[in-house]
Amino acid sequence: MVTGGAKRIGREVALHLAQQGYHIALHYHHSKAQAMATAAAIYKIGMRCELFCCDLTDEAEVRKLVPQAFEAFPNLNVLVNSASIFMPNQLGAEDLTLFKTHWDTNFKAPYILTCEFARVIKKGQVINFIDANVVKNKTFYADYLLTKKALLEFTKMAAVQWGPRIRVNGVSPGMILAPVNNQPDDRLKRSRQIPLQKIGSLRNILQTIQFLLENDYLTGQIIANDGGENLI
Amino acid sequence: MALIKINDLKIRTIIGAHPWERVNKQEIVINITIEYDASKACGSDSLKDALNYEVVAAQVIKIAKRSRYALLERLAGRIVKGVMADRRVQGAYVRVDKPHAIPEARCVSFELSARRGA
Repeated sequence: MVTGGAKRIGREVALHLAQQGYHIALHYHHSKAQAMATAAAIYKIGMRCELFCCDLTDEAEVRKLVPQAFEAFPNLNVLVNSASIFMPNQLGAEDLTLFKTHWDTNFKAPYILTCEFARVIKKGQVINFIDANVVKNKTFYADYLLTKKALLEFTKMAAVQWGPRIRVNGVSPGMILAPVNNQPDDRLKRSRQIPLQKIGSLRNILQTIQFLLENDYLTGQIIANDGGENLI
Repeated sequence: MALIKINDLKIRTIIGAHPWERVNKQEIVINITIEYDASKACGSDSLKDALNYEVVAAQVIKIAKRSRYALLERLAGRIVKGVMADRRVQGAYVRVDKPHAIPEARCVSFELSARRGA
């Protein structure tokens, strides 16, 4: 099951998993057309793909998601929490709407989905998408970063709670995709300041996903796939 | 005459003629309006005098979940037939929405109604 699987990294992960022989329970919310296109691409690969529309800020809907996917795919064994929102804001806003949306989508939903996954699945693994910046304290995307920091800690705690049945790991992408929200794409400039001095590719993320899937002696680990960005 | 409405019944099932629709279940949304004479139930306050909407919903869910139909028309027809099987039902209206029929559209709907004696 891949959340946010209609576009961007989630789509690539879903397609990669399909190429590895996984059937896909693909979650989306607003991006119906992209979700259908991804499902069509997965069908062409030769695997099944069922679409699950769900507002991740709606707790009742989120709670149903894993049981629904499990009903469709009784061999469900991987959950990839890649759905995420990313809006600029700083600490101290009086209106907490943005905070709540970030919290619900980026932390509460993966939290509930992982709990439900652990409840219904006998043996499997969870991969959470975090962010290379979680080790820093930048405040331009304060609510976003806070939720990803929480998700990082949850990943480790969940690994302890549900081992050995469920492995829980995380990927922290760095400069991989162009920014959303009409933000200027300054990745090239910024990439010169990180140790490996280049922008990462989706292939790098998929390599990490594959490594996490295959390495069965790994849990509670967050791999920063960021060219060393988190180190400076 | 009284109306019972069952709104936005969401079910995952096989529906559609495309090859991918034959292997992947998808969500459909069913709305049903049932017309029946509720005068006895209005007076007695007894469930046995009323048309039990839980029973109707369970029947519709069963029909829809077992669906392997290619067309919304066939599924809606099967649901209408199922609802009308109760002799107390005077009329039934069914709308089946298929959200994943057209990417650019919220959904595609098929509507069907039947009336006893018509």
